[in-house]
Amino acid sequence: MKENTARPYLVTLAILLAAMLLSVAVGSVVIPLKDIFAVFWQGITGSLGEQIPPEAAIIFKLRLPRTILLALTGAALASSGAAYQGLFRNPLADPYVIGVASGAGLGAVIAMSIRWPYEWASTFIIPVVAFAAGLVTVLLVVVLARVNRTSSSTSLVLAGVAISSFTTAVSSFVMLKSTGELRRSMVWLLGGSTLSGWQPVLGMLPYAVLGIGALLTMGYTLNVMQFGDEQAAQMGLRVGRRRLVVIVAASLTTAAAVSFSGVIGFVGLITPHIVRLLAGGNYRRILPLSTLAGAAFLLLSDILARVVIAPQEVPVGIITALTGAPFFIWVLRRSRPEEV
Amino acid sequence: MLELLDVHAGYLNKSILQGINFTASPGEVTALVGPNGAGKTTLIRAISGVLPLQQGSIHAFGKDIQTLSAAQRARMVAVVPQATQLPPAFTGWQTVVLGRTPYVNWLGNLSHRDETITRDAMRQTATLELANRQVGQLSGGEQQRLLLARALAQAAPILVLDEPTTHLDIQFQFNLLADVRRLAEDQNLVVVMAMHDLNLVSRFCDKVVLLNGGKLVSYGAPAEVLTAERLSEVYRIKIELHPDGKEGQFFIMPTLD
Repeated sequence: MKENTARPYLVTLAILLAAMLLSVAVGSVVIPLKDIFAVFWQGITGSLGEQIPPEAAIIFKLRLPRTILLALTGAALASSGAAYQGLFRNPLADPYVIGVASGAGLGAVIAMSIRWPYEWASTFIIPVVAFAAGLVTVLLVVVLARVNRTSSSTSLVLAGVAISSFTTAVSSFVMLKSTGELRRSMVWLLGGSTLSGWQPVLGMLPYAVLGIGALLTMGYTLNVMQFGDEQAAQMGLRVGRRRLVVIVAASLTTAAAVSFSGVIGFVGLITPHIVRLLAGGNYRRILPLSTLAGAAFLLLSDILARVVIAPQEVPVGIITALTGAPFFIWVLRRSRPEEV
Repeated sequence: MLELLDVHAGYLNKSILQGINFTASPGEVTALVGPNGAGKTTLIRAISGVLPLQQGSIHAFGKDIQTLSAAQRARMVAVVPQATQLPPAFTGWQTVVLGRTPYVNWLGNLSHRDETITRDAMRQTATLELANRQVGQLSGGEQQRLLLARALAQAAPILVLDEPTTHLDIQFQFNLLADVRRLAEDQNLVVVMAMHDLNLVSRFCDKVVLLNGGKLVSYGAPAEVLTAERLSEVYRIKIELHPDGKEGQFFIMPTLD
């Protein structure tokens, strides 16, 4: 009766590791796997020497930080997507549909448009402002969606889409008004990281670890909440408090992703669905599996983005949208009426 | 022992229940009956603690349920809701084991004891064979039995059921109520059950609470409470009682003039 089989975790982890290796290998210069392992080995043993070979520079300064940033972003978007879908019992909920991502985006754009005295200050302040804005947005959506003290899936999505459009419009307006930072914001808006190197990785890491870490403890809570607030309370859950923890943790996780990687849609929507189809309805499994699978999905999308019109790169958000939008429509059409 | 003292409850400023008093005892099945809108579901929500009282108190074995935490309350009162919209991808086991919620930690890690109690609850409700099946593929009767098992896994001395037979055919209705009856006696549970079918009430219940318009009309043994005059008045339709041959048993039939 217990189902603690390790196989889905091992398979997903293997796909993620393969995607990470591929992500380090593929680009304008293709580095063979054998050389990657050699460079890693030299890096670990400290035998790279004075003259760092060009492959090592590409790996350690460009590809590895980008790979880790994208893996963290994918993990963050997918875990928060899974949490929102579970919390709102809505297959269409994801950080973008319910407005939290565009709210966090608005916060990030406002923070970017301010000239901070130090470069490092912006790295740490942007996600904080994004988190606050994202949290305010999701709470606003939840309040707006409440009609007669209950919020149906439909009203939630409608409120999310409305607030999402509104905050996106305000973001565009702020970007137009700001001067020097405009290009950076535009690239960011299309889902391409504007920063390179280790700075964004270090900036995102604490928020992502905290947010994803908190979400991973909420699997049981989400299982109980699948029966609705009233039954959850009758089973002894402090529903209000648990729901707040999920919303805060998921919003922090989304804000971390949006602040450093920009607007990348559909990862948070698709990944939990695929996981649910393959691994069942238990959120104690859906959350960790979505975290791993989201990282792999975004890395594979990014690899595609690098090669599809090489040597030019497509912003990864375009790739995830191209694969995600048809999937979204498919989910919408196969959902039973009462779920949408 | 479940004691209700002058219970007033409702929504916003509107009072639905107005001064309900009764006591339900261990080993007995108490039915809540009355027309639609009489306050049966509101009363069940009040007993389960999800609806705060406007006045009065509810005591579960001497403890005021309004002063208990959610988990403490869930260890005293377990609720069997109507089987509507269960998460279809859950298995039977995943559904029933959630009855252990008031006993597990934040992560929901199960002890050996939690698993034993869950398995016991499934054995008593004949749902063990549903453990690995998806809830979405089960019949209404099977789903209702899983919800009964989940409530038993809560190991609470008070069991509250909200119209448990509503979506079931007569075979499932009969079996479910026979199960509830047996559980009340075997485990000395206080059972309170909202019911529509007065014939099933007279057959399976020890006490009846007749509600109308949020007020208690009558309380006592079925034969005392369910009289033709009283039922005709409360349901506003002419109702006759016909003896069914066994001692003290009768059929309750609405009649056309």
